[in-house]
Amino acid sequence: MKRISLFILYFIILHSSLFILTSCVQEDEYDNSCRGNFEALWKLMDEHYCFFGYKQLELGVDWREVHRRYAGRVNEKMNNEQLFEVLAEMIGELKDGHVNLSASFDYGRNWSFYQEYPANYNDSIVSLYLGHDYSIASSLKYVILEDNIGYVRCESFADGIGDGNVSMMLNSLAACSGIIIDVRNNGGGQLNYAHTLASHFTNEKVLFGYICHKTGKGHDDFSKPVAQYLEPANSGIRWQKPVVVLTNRRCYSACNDFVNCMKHCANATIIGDHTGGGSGMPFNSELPNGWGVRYSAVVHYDAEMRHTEFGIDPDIFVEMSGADTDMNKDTFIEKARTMLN
Amino acid sequence: MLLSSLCAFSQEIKNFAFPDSVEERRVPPAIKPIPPVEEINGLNEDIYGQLEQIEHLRHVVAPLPSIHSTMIGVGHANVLDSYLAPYNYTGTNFRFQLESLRITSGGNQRQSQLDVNGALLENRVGNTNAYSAGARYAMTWYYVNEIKEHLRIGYGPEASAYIGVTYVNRSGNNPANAHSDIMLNLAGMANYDFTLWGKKYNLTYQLAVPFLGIAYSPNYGQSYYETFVLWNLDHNLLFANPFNMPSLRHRLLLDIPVGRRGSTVRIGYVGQFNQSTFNNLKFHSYTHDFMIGYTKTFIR
Repeated sequence: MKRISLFILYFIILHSSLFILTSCVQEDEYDNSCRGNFEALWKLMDEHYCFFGYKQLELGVDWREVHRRYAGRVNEKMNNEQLFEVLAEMIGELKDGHVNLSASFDYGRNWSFYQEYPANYNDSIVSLYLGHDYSIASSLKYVILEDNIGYVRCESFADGIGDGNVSMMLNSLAACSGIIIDVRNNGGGQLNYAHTLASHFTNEKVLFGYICHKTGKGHDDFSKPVAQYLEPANSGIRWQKPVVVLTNRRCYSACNDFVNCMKHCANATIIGDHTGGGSGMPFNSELPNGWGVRYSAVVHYDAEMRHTEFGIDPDIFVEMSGADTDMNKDTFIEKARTMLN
Repeated sequence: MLLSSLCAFSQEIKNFAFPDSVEERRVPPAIKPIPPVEEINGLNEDIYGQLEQIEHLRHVVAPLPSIHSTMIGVGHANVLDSYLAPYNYTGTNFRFQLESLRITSGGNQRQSQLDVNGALLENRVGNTNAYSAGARYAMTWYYVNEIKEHLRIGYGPEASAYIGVTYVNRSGNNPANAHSDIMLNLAGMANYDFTLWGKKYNLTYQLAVPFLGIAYSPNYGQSYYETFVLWNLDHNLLFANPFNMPSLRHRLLLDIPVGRRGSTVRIGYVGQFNQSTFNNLKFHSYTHDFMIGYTKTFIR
């Protein structure tokens, strides 16, 4: 008993002394200066961004070389706008829509994933297909076209989509010979809403990809990829007829994941343009001056362990035709209707 | 006959000695019934003093006090959670402590404590807010030694359970981080009674450091979508020890007697230095609070 008491006493004294003398858990603090913010951003990305290996392979981005190149452009005489321009340009080298710098006066981004490509979408023409009497189930707008094809417009996965929303919608479209799910210009949102919608189009549990995250500061420090499965919807209606998904370059992030899921659904066909990609789940952080930073942190692969960061090919490529546009026709929707009829 | 029994009793009293160690004190000495005072009139005067000592001893052994206290406090917080941001957030901390301390029959102490805190924080340029909150329940067993008159020190094990969260007010897939642990800690205390202006005051210092346990932490870049939607766990439950959780909690309390017997106003300082380095993530929460409250003593 006495020995235990002494041990406890000695331990407390030793531990307290160690605590006081050595152990303050701190991160490296950077000055709130131009140089400090530059170094803080570079290091934040260096330690947390998840696609360095892939971007080096695809784009030749060497992050250390990027540091050397941009460090010379930073000096303490710069004003906020000039510093922002340099920092935004530096992270733009990664060509990742999920990598952003946000200040009160600007939003740094590289949206080349769609800006360098045809839009393949005309909102005014889509409005003509929807008409005025369309129904709305959460973020799903839907209507039955004249040829008994259901048309569903899904602009975002940011708002909650539940099994009830999808089932009620599918019930309303039950008499249709097929449906079109138009996710063009859908910039993403919550992954689980995308998966909820997709789960109503499969009768089997299907492997659609893998997911992994960083486990350390090194560019190659990743966890073991874990398989992701699309499970059939537990409740409500599962669609058994053909379904066509319309895509363009602005299908990004969670929408990219939705398209990836739908590629594994037996009755689904993807029609349109290559998707925008954005397979890295973004995290947020900040710089010493308070500017927000967003970066890709979690990697999604497809079922063959390929990156989908730069998008997914459709089953059938389609481009908007000028002639159709002149006639207020949407080439993508018309192609889908032809297929479903 | 009466005289001989009284003589034997008197000899026993003379041979009586106060126990030195806790072990000895845990077994109270057998006390024979005290004869009525009238029967010992005329004996050695010293016997009255010794009888008083026995009477006092009887009271020390029998009634066991239980001290209950409630305190609220306000102070300063400094929080770093590198899962959310690599910078310190600072601000105002609020603390509430509810405590019960029981003196056991051997003079040792058993303390149970609920400690709740919440902090309003902001980053160093003041453009992002964060909120931090946590609750800890701890049960401590102190083995107490009286090393000098009015001065006692105690040490012993402490079992604690903690759950807390830090939330940064910006959207994204990592807006918050949870912290949780179940720990066996080692605790120490010093307790000093003193009299000032005719009133008895009590000064207490308590300290606890982690020893062994289990703690939760997300992995370095692991999203909560993976953890709580997909249930892809990856080194989320970790063995905690003084090297990856070099933390320390201490407090200094002064009990000032007021009003009715057994009630005191309690003022003090609570400092908590909770730190961890799990999965290459760094966390610290340093809080300093000025506390005020009251205590009530009950006799069991």
